Amino acid sequence: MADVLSGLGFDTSQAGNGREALDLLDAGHAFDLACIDWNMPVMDGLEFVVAVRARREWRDLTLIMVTTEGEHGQVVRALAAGAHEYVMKPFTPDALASKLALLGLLPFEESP
Amino acid sequence: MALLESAPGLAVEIIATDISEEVLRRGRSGRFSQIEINRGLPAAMLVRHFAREGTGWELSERMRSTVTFSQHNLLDQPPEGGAFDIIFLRNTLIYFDLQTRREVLCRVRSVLRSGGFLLLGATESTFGIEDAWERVQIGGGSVYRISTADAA
Amino acid sequence: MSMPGAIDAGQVAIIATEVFAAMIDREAGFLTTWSGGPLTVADPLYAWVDLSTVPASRLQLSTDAGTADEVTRAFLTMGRVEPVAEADVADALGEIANVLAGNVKALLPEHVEMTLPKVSWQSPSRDGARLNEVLLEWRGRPIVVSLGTI
Repeated sequence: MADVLSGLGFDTSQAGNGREALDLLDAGHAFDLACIDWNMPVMDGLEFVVAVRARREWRDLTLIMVTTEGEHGQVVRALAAGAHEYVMKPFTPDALASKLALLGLLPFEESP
Repeated sequence: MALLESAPGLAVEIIATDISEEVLRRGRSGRFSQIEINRGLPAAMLVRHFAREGTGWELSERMRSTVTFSQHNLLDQPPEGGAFDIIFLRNTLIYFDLQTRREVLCRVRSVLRSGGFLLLGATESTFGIEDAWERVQIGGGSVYRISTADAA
Repeated sequence: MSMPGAIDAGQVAIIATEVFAAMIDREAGFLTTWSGGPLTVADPLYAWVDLSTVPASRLQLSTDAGTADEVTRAFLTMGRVEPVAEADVADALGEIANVLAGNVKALLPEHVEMTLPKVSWQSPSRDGARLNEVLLEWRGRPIVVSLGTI
C-alpha cells in the first residue's frame, strides 16, 4: 500500500490499527488521505472512520477503505459512516489512482 | 448512471456496439470483475446500481434495460437508432490507419445530430483526421462537436 | 473434497491468479497451475487465515523460503538483491493469505468472519484438518494454496 502510494507521489506513514492511526492524527501531523483496511486488531477500520468523522478538526481528511471486505452491505456501511471511497483487494495501482483522481487528490489520467 | 441520477425522469436509450459477439455477450450480462469495478467507478454509484455476484458485481436490471447491445462493424454503414445526441468512440480509432479513421469519423458525423457530442479517449483527438470538428472544453476530457463553420 | 460451501479448486486457482496479477506481478500470466510432477515443498513457510464457516475452515498458503523471499521482493517492489527481512516476508505472505481468503469468502452465501493472517514455519493444521491443496507455479516456483475444514 505504502509502495503504491509513494509511487503516486505521496509521503506515507503507517499504523497497525485504528488506535495507532488516531494517535498519529492526534500528534498533529497534517495528513491528506487515510487508506484503511477493515480488519485490524484493537480498533477496526469502520470504528476508525466513525472516530475520524466525529472530529471537526479532521473533516478535510479523505478516507478510503482498502480492504478484502466487499459485501454490498459493508460498502454501504462504510460510506454511511463517512468513508469517501472504497477499493476492494486485490486492486491495481491504477485503480487506486483513478479513485484518488475522482476525489481530486491526483490529476486525471486515463487508461483505456 | 450519471445521466439517470441527475435527471431521473429522462428517457435514455443507449446503443452499444462491437464487432465481437463475445464482447457483446459480456456487455449484456452486466457483470464486472472486481478489478474492473475498482477502476474509476465511485463507490456510491456501485452500491446504488450494482449487486454482488460471485467474486464480481452485476449491474441492476433498471440500468441494463437502458442499453441495447448489437453487433456492428465500424467500417460498415452506421448502426440503426440515429441521430444520436452523444457518441462515445473511445480508444477505438487508435486501432485504425489514418484513412480508415477518416472514414469512421465521417460516418459518425452522419449520425450525430447537430449540437451533439463525440467523446474520444483521453489522449485522442480529431486533429489531423478531420477538420469538421471543434473541441469543447469540458473538464479535461476529449469532447468534440461538429464544427458550426462546416457547411459540407 | 472439503472446501467450504463447495468452492472448487478451479475457483481458488482463478482467485490466486488474479491476486498475483494485480498485487505481485502487476501483470497477468506469472501464476499458473503446477506443471511438474508430484510436489512436496521442503521446509515450508505457512501463511493462513481462518474463516468462521460451520465447521471452521482455513485458507492457507505455503511455499519454500526462497520463493517466499522472491514473492516478498516482488510484492514490495524491492531490488533483486535487496535483503528481505523476516518481518517483510510475514507482512507480504500474510497479506496475500488475507486477500485470497477475502475473495474466497466473497463466494460464500453466508456472512463469514476472517481472522487476521498468521505466518509460521510450523504447520497450523493438526490431524483432522482436511485441506484440499491447489498446486500452483509462480515463475517456475511452487506455491500451494489450501482450503478446507479444520
